[in-house]
Amino acid sequence: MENQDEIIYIKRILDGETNLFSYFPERYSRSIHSLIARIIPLKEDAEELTQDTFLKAFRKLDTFKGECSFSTWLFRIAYNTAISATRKRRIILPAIDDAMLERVSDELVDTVFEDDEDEIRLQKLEAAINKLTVEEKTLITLFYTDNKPVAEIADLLEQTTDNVKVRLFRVRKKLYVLMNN
Amino acid sequence: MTMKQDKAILKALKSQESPALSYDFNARLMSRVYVVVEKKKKRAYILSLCLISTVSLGLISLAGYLLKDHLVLDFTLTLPRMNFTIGSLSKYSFSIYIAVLTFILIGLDTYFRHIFIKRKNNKSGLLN
Repeated sequence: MENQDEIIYIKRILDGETNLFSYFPERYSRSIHSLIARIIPLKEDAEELTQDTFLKAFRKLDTFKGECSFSTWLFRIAYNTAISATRKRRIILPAIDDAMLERVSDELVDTVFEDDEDEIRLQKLEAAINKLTVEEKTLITLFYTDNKPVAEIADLLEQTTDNVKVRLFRVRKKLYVLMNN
Repeated sequence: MTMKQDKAILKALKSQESPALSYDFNARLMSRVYVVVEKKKKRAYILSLCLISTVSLGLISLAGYLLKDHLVLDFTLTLPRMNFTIGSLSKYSFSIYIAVLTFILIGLDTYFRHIFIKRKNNKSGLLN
């Protein structure tokens, strides 16, 4: 229903009712900013890129065909905008051997991440999150913070659902390894 | 156990929540949007102006060419009584000129009509 309303809004905006576009930043600016800030930590840059995301969406509004939900389309623009910005400054992140990840069992990871009371462990986890790649940070932000279903994340990142699931499991293991190194 | 129960990851992510957007974020964004709209309108205006100028120039050139090479106008002016004759102007050439002009205008009309309908269909296609 919401998607239908948004499509009607888009049609009206394209017909000249530009002021209706304010509905979209009012609804999505916080979550878009949250995603971009996860990728681009500098506050001013993140805000600027959030504005750029909405401007790009406005410019390309006539290309939105309604094949996916408007929010997925908007998040995809935000993700691509943020990724393009990170390409300008290369950050070297610790590489983790695949074999090391294989040795970590899912049960162990489940147990560690189930407990949210241990402050020292949480600090380690925050530090580990900062060492993740941009794609990995995006993935866990969309899944945990934005509470998006795997299918929608897959659509947004233009990957298969299975691939997203596998990557999510790998990120959890990687976080565990980073916490313990 | 499902990943959604990773309470520690969720808490860690929430503790790193980004600061709020500045209070005038939406106002600044909308003012930029209006600038984009103005630019779009200006671009469309310039484009249509260029198109009209090109078509007009083309038609003028065509008329000039036809008048110079294919049509000969012969005016005879006699005072006090003005006598206007189109002596050597062939009715045949003049008809071709009018026909070509008509075809060009019909062609342009069809072309712009096609673009207009296509754009209208694209917009209405969003609702389907």
